[in-house]
Amino acid sequence: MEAAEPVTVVGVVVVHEPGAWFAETLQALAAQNYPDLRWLILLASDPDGAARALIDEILPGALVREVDPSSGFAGAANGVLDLVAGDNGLFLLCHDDIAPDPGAVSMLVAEFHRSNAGLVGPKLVDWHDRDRLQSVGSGLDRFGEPYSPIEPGELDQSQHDAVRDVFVLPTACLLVRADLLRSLGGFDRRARLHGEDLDLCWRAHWAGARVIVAPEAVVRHRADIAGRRPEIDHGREHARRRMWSVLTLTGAARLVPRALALIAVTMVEFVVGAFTGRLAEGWRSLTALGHTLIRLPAVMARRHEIRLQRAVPEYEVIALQTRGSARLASYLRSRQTATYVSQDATVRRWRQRSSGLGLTWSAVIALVLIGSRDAVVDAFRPVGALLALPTPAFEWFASMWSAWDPRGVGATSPAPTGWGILGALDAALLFQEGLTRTVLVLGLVLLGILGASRLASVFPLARARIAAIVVYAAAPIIARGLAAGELDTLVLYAALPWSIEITRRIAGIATADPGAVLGDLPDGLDDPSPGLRRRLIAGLILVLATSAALAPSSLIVIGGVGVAMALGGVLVRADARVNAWFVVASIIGLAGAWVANLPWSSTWTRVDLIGGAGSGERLGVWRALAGGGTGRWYDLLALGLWVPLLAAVLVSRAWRMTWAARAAATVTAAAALIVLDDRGLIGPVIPSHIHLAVAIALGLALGAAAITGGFNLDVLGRDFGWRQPLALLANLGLVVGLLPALVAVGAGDWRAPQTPTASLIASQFPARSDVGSYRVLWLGDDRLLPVPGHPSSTGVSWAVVDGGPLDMRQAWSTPLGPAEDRVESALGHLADGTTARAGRLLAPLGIRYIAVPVADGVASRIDDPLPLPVGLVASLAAQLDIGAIQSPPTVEVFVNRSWIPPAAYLTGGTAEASTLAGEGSLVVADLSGTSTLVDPRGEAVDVVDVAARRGATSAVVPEAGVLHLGVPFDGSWRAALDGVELPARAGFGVTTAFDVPGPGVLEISYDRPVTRTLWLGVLAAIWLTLIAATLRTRGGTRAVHEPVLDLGPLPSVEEGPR
Amino acid sequence: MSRRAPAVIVVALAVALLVWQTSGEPEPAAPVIFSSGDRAWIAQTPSAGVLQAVWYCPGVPAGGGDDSGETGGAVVIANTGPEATRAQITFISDTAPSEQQVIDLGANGRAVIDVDAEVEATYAGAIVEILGGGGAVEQRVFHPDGNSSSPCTTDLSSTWFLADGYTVGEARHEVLLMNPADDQVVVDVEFLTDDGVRRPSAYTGYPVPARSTRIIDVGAEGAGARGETRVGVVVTASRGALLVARASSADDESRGGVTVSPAAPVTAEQWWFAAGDKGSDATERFSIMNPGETDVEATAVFFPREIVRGPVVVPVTVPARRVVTLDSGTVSGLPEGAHGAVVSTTDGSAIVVDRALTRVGEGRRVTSITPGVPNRPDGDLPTSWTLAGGPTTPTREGLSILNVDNEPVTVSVSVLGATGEIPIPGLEAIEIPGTGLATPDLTDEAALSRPLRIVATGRVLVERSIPSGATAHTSWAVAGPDAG
Repeated sequence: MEAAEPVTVVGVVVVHEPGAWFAETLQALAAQNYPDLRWLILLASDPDGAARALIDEILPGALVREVDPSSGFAGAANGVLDLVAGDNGLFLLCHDDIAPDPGAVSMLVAEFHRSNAGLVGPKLVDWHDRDRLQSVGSGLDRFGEPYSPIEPGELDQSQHDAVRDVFVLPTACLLVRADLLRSLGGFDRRARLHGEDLDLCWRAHWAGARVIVAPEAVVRHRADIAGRRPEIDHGREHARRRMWSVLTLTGAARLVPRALALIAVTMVEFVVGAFTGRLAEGWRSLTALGHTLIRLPAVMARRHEIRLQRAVPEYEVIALQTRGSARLASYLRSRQTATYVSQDATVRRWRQRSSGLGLTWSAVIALVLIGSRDAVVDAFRPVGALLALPTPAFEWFASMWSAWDPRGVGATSPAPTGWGILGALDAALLFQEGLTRTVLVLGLVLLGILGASRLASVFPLARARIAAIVVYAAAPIIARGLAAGELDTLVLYAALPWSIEITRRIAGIATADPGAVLGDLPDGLDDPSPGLRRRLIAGLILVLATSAALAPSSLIVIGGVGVAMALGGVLVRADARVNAWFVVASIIGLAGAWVANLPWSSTWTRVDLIGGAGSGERLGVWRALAGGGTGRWYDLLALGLWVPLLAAVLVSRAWRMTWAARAAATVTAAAALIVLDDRGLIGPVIPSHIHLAVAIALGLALGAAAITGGFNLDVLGRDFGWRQPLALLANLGLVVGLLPALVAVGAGDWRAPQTPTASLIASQFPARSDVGSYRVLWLGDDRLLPVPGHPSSTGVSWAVVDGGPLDMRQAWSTPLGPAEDRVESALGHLADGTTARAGRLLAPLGIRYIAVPVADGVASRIDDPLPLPVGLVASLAAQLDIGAIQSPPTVEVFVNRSWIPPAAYLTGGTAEASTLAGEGSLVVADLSGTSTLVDPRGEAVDVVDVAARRGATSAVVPEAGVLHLGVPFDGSWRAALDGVELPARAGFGVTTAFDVPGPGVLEISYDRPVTRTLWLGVLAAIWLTLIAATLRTRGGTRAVHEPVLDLGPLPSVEEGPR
Repeated sequence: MSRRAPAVIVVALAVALLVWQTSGEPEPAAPVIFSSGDRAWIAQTPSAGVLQAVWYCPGVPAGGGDDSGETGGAVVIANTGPEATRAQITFISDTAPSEQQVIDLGANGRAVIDVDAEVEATYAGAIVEILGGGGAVEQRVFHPDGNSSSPCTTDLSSTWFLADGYTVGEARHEVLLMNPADDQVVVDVEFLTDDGVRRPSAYTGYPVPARSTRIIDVGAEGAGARGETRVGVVVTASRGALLVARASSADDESRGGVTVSPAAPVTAEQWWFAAGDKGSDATERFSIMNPGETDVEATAVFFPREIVRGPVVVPVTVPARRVVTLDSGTVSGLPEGAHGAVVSTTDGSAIVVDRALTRVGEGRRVTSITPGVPNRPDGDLPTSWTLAGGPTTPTREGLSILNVDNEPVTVSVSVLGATGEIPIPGLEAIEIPGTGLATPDLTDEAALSRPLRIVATGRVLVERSIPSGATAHTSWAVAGPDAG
């Protein structure tokens, strides 16, 4: 082909229901000055005939063919190979939403001649603003990810105007040599709307053709495929095409390692995405990989189909590709741009580049790790709710599956959803307990800080995010939560910023435009599409449901902060819809979280939602507000973190002031509750102080972000006066406020007790005693109980646990039932002094020991113990059937001399007594005829748990009597004597008993209610739906794969001038 | 108004609230009160309707025999409620294993358990558990030298005090340590003599097994307090709680008869007595124990039945860790006859006061030893009292009722019958002037051997007497059921 000779160009335009712009497109096409240009319009869809009319009017010489919209863009464009005979020419493949400059085609052809290229593409610019670059071709990494040299919104300042080789050209406007297109067999017909450009260009490189961009040719492009085809999940299609291209176009020698690398990269992307707010993208890649792998036969067929197109060695093609991962590079770069909203428009601009953010993150992570160094070595000692994980590890799921809840005195009751979540985490970490505990604890902390950082991204400056990160991370609640093993506090710490972040996005609050410095813009408002809003709401519910599953008490604080944010917005006259959304989204989120935790959530009590019997803390206002514990004066320095918030309210403007007001409202509300409670002015109906301190920490973080984010505009940009000293004072407060956190880091284990109560329990109350299993009643200050306690009308809290070590399943409170009522009643009599036989009242429930905690090393220390509840020990000591025994100084232990084992065989007067209900009968009952149930081998049987979890168990009974199971009366229990089923009845008015008529072999079993399976199914469906709804970027419709074009024959083209 | 103003106002208000709230240190959080923490006090009838009322009877001689002039004892149980109920009795002794029996009690019914017929031991006590509360329990000792009675107690304690002790000559002063619980109790015993405090090694870390009684003879050879005209005893349990009582017997010029009565479980600033006597046929000795480490100034105030010049006040100094005695017969200005008394400290120090009241009849002495009624921190004293059983024979001055306030009160004495309270003729409305004392007779047939209820319009103290030989033995009634 001679360069100087004119060559025929056939312009092929695929048209599908174009919009109002189409006239402008046609005018641009008609205005081309290239002399030998024929237009072929392929009309795929034109319901009202408007497009055809425009073509006839503006481009009357064009050949128009209506096509069947069943083969997609790629298939339609391939039709040109059949419709146009001969190879001596060029095809200009065009979308219907472009507007080339008049000389664009001429320049493309000229460059084609100059470079002897196979494919030539123009510089694509924004349809509305031709100063904004859209594409100048892309590179490609070895994992199929295009790598564009330009950034979103980048201005065209001729910086990319050099002609150069690229790997991929978009098909919006693409000049391709006719013979090349024919030899390649056209586009991959499977490509439809995505990936056809990548596939074609890659194969062109295989064929040895050059792919170049000619930036002198300028084409405006709307690029609104998502808006025009909203029913398609474009992200998923893109991901699938990327995987397809890699597996079909990578050379045979490199295919296996490349596939393995692709799998690894995809997994990493998914994991990283989970922690960086790009989970949906990671999920798309993961599913696309799976989708492609299961279509392996089709992949192999395609490879066979194009095998002959490879004309050059693979290394030459690889040399053209980008090293490393363009996806990672793109990710990193995209973090430096952001969408900003001003009064008039939404723009994408460079985010402020700052190495400070990375340094801050590095420092925070390092300090968290340093502060946890000893704790990590010990895999975080079993303090508070951070108890040991169940052994064996599969117990998580067994407990979820079983309808029998072995905690407390046992009951047929729903299992906490959190068991499943922690079980999944444990499984994901291959049941490595130490790793799971470490990941759980540190993960929650870092997740919370990351959430605060994301929330602070409403401020366009990096230093605002830095301030938010630092303040939220420096809150003393981290040290306190870790020291006390307060899982609920850590969960709240992690969930609160994320819930507010999602809520603000639901409300339509975007990052305000830093360029909009003059107006008093209350918020940068975007208008999320209904689909996006639905997805966000699903995400909010997912966050709250997860949070509630682990710590129901977090819901109250999260909901309260949502309302406080709304009130703060009202104060500063933020948009009413935004304020309303804060409330509505919170309500929806809370309701959704409750539903997602059914049926367990139906058992939630005040203890679950508010906490125990009240903090009982009177630390003094300042210490309480500082969020620290007692005895450390330097915790008060954390109050320095309050100064930036006060300064922000007084100094900041525009959206910064709006957020300062929201933060102030949150902090004020939480602080007011703390202060009033500290002064004894309100009852124990508020969340714990430390939970409120989490809300305060988030408010302070936002306040700090507001003042630092607006420092240039609100402080330096104004006349010298009181604002500048105040801002400096705020910065000083920030520095001072960090000191307690830095001091806490030095301990290495956050000052967690060396010998936690859980460790003491393991030695003091071994799992097996010489008389079989037993239970322990913990009684005392709510803060000192090893598991969540039930508040008693007597003023103390109590909890019943099995003998033996505790595990994390017991970190959730147990539901209340008749057995718990019996305990409560016994405690009432004990407190009132109306019995001297409290041991007998507790005996049927298998309670052998009563433990009164004195010190746990956190809230109460041996050298500074909390006062014991007045009269508690004396009341126990005054009981005739309860005796004190030797115990460590951290706990007072009493033994119940009247106890009946949880699985016992009763004879004589005791058997008779079991038929009587009422406490009056019990206190004078003869309980001497009690023996622990033993199995046929003579070993004590932990009948209750064994039968409930592992099926039937048996025991030999020597004489007539009563089988006593120290669990609430439950018809699910079965007993059979030598195969004959025995009727169940209530024992002692509360437990489960079977009258045994004579000696024989007893078989004891538990029938798992079928409703449990149904509930688990419903629960799984709810959670999977939530996850799917959160990850889906578009509505719930599946991608429509119907072709959009059908090219008919075009014989006249062959007859036309060449 | 600018957008900022409302936010600033709210924050300013919050700051103002904060400053105002921090103007003073907050009151520390009130400690959690599990149980009212009522310290042990005198025996009192629990309210009806509670789950269970538990009474501890320290012990009666149970060497066998019956009640007809030989040594023995009984427990008298009265159901003061309108509903029939049951009571479980567990016998505790120094030699025999504990035994139980359950009895039925009719509405306002009464039962007398012959303890020595059930158990053979040196001393046999009992735990009486009355279902449903309301009731009163007392124990009676029958002895050839005289009978005695005392209410059983409703409290256990880890410390007990016996201010009065007499080990001269043949007099016996035994301390009964009754452990009704299912666990062993270990105690330390101290004797407070004129020569100082003695801590016999035999009684240091002294174990009292579960559900058993142990007996310490204070005047035994080697025990350390032989021949003492006054010896106090302090019993302290290092862990657990028990019941401590005295069993005193004597037959000399000063004392006679047998007394078994609970010790005092507390120390207090005031100790009240209703049934004092001064005269040729009575001697009254107050033993005032100061268990503290500093000397105490106390005063004894007497309230004569026949008020002539008002109360008689006698100052007493009680050295630290000593027992001093005060004989009312030596108090000048105190007229002969019945009187009430209160011994109190002037500086709020805590003491223990026992009274040994010896009456003489037909040449035989009957000594009644009992601690007083200690004041309660809340100031409450009973307005009603109960007797599990009235005297078995008509008794002159069967009751001693002391009005502890300056306002006059009206007292009625009723019998608890199947139909409820039945006033005793002549005792329906006894007027008692302020700080006055009344000693009505219990001679009406209706009052004999029946539960009695004494109800006053104000705070009163009631002691009762039962015939013992030719004279009477005095002990406290049971407070309540409306005791503060």
